Amino acid sequence: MFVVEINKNSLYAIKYDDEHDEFENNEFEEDNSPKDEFRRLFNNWSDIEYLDAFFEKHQSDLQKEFYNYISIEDAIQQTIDEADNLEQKLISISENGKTDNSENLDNLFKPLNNREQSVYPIPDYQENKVYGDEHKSWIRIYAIRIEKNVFIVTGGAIKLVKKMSEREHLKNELIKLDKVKEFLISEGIIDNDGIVEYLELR
Amino acid sequence: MENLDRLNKIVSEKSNWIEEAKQRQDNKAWLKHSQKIAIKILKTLRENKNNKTGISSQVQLAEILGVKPQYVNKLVKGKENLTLETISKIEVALNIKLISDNKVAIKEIVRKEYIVKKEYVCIPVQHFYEKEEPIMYALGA
Repeated sequence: MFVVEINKNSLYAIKYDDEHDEFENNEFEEDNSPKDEFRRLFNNWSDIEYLDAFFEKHQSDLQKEFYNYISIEDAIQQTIDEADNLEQKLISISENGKTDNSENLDNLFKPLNNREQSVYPIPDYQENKVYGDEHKSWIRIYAIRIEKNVFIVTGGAIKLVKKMSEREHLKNELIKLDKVKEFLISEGIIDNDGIVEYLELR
Repeated sequence: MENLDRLNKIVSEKSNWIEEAKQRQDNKAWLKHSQKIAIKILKTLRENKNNKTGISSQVQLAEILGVKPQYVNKLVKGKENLTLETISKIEVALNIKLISDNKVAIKEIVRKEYIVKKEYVCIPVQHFYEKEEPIMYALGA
């Protein structure tokens, strides 16, 4: 795994050697070499073929009162709009350090604290997440905080269920968070004894 | 700060995200249309597959359109700036409408303007609905 710079001294992302997402189809892309997680996520969230395949598989998760029994087509549209909003916000932060609404990374990323400790216990760590504008926003970016206003993105997902343990692709994101934590400890970037913050942006 | 220094030392490259993100923002206007078309195409392919009728795969669509599968794949990703000719060919191949009928839309706008004008001279709106003819005059038909 490699560390890739998104915005110096503020935002970084991990590039995995073998990250595979079953809904990605990059066969015909000019550049189909591995992407860092940040780039990969926003690529997927603007890729209709990817979103169509994802929601077709997870259609039963959409057929709930909570989501107003939304169709696959509307779910795709909602994801594109959510990702677009988030991307605009992040461009603004990347260029100015904050958005027009004075949001910075520190107040966008929120602790990831709804995880069931019994399924995937992470003693001593606080998890974090980032929230977008939409109340029922389902896109997530997961990260580890290095220090104030400095984050490393470990991955992200479309989260349609309440708990991450309910779906394999979400459990995988927890595994990635832990793997990156171990990597950062081995590189001496974070302290083994300190509090490692896991965060989520949505 | 030490942590950050150590982190910067192991950075292997700079992400292309910002360039791609700006491209998405710059091309947003037409990308929106491209994405909507892709959603409709994939919905139709899925329905055809489920109903076992018509064109049900990207490869079949490429054959009918006489283009490479790579091109159809770009279409269904919603990242292609399609020509009207291509849109029309897809409409025929899949028997769907990708561009809405503007006739209806224009009629609606004219109707609204007409109602405003009629209200101005204090003629009841109901009267307008009883007589469809003036709409045609307003359109200049």
